[in-house]
Amino acid sequence: MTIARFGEGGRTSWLLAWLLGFWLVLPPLHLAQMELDEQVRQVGAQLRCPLCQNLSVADSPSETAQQMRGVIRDQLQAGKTPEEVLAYFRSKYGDWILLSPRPHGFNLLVWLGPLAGVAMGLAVAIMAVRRWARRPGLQEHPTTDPALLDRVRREALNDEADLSVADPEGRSPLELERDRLYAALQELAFDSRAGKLSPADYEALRADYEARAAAVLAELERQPRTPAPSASPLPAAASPSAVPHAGQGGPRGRRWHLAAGGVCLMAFALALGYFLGQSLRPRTGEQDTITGDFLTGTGPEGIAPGSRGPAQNLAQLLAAGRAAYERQDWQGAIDAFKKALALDRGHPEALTYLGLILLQGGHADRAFLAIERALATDPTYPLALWAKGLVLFERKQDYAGAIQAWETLMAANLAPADADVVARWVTEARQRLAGQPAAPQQAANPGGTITGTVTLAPQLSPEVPPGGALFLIARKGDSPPLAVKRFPNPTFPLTFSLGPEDQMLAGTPFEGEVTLLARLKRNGTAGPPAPGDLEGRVRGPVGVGQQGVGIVLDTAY
Amino acid sequence: MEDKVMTWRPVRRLLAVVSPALVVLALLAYGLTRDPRAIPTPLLAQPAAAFTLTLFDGRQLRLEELQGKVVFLNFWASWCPPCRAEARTLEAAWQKYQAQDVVFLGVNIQDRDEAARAFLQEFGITYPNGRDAAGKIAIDYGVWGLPETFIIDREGRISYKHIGGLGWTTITTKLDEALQGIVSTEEGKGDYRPVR
Repeated sequence: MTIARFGEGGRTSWLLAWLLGFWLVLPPLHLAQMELDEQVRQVGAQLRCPLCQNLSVADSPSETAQQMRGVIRDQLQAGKTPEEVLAYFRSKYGDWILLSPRPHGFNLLVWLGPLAGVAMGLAVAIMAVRRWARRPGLQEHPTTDPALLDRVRREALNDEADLSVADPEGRSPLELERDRLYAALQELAFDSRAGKLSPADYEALRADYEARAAAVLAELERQPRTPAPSASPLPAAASPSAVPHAGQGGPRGRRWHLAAGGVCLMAFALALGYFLGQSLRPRTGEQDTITGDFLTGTGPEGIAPGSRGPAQNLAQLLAAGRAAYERQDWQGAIDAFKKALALDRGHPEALTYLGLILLQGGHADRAFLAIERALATDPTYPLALWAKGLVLFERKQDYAGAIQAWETLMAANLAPADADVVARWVTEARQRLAGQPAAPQQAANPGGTITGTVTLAPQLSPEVPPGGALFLIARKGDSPPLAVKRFPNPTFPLTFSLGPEDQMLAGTPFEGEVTLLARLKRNGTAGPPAPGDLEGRVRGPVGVGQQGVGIVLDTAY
Repeated sequence: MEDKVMTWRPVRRLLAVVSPALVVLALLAYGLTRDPRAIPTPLLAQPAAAFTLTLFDGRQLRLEELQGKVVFLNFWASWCPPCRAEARTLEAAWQKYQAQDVVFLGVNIQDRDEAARAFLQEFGITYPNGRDAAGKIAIDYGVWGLPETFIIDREGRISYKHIGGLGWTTITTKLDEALQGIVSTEEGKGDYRPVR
């Protein structure tokens, strides 16, 4: 579409003269500038702003950071490498100025501290898992007196009536501990009856609590008696810690559960750390955030094509750029395409359009550079191939190069109209290459006739009912048809020629640019399309005198 | 044996909790007692970076022209209170030292021209002053706060750096040291304002 508009009508010299006028008011364009901007940003992102807390020179809006960015730019322009620029700032501000501290001396703590923390955490986790997994059996209390154990069982399970009369105020810590263990034993028995514990767990926990209670009793007997009677030892309420833990001291299988849980926890922590780290990135512009990529959906690379977010932004930016280009708002187009390039550095369309704008501004070399960058991303990108040929043809007089670019373009799947235009340019380039001045198109076709072919889109039915007719209609803008030709009972492909003899409006010369429309009417009469009719049009204007115009009937009513 | 376990276990547990806590506390104590904004200069005893300063009277002054003299290089701005506080002391020191091969030089940064001129007039500053509008000289000297003062000795080395307002004693001591070729091992510090 754009291709057709660019090369159409043999009016290139007029167009270029007009664009050259535009160039005079065109703001200075600097593609290299964009690369420099990016380099400045990259260096600035590694430097700490001297007066902001934890902001890089690239991100800080402060005057100092602005001045530092100016110094970075100057030094890069003077040919210093980014490393040399960083070294310059280090020589002035010391290591402090680097956002990532260098791993030596005290700074090593920053690098090794997290590792040490992880190692310690692992050690603690392993210890805890091992402790939990250790089965608290009777072997821990091998010296427990069986008589004391009997007493524990008797007191703990038979004196339930005393639970309510306890007075924690008057008890010694040992008595309170004994009461707590008794309460725990009671709850354990209750849980076991309720089926909350497996018999093995119950036995193991009961043995543990009984042994601990017996030890407490033994200790109590060694001590002088407290005023509180030891015969009524049961507590008022069990402390929360006395609730038996189902996980404690389980059978062997439980050890693996815990170990697996620990491993899962570690894996989760590591994954969280990794992905959170990945989701932060340097800001790419004033409006950007430091969070990005797939976790937050704002990054340039983490979004699958076609999903919402930046991809849509990119599409919007490109659409805005094209719209600005169409209405010849060069600055708007440049801004939009630059923003698009900030999202995708090698976007062929944005690069090509920038190249075309540069070309119109007369910066053929820079235009060529941009177009080459576009082709580096996509070697068969049609617009870039077209533009490359144009630069070589118009500005560099490299006709062989232009032919090569355009022939690559023609090998691609082009719309017939575009292919025709490219073919004409290739012919002209060949003529120039052979040293023959190209004859003006109009001269070769003095009658002002448009010729070409009408074809049928493959997905549409080729049947034309008897009495049907094809109408070829040329208009200027929205005005009534300038010229119409009727082809009864057409067969496709249909070769046509539309000239002044087909003109409808007297007094309007058949020249300049027209829009061309082909309509297959099943009833064979002129008029607006009816159901079953087919239509096709040439996108963009057609110059009168143009030859080899292709029209595809691709719209069905 | 049982008793031993009973007594050692809590101690070990206590140590296990307390020792990492102590490490963290020590780190915190170290970090919290430092000025997080302070940027230690690597420039002491280093050759002073060359520059050309356009003075407020329009003259151009190149640092190389002052070779063989002690240069008192002061970065300031009219909006910075410690700069105002030290201004009269600096002028008095200039009056004392100008006969002794010492040159005072003021570099105005991050300021407006008229505000800077009004400042010089207000405090009756007579030593040469100029504006570093792009901040290039300031960055070349690693300036991060205001005021900052560098003393450059006869051999062109930075013999002393002071961040913040200067008092009479420091100025005279450090200038005398510089005149004798003594280079300070540490920079000095007073009240300062972060640059903008």
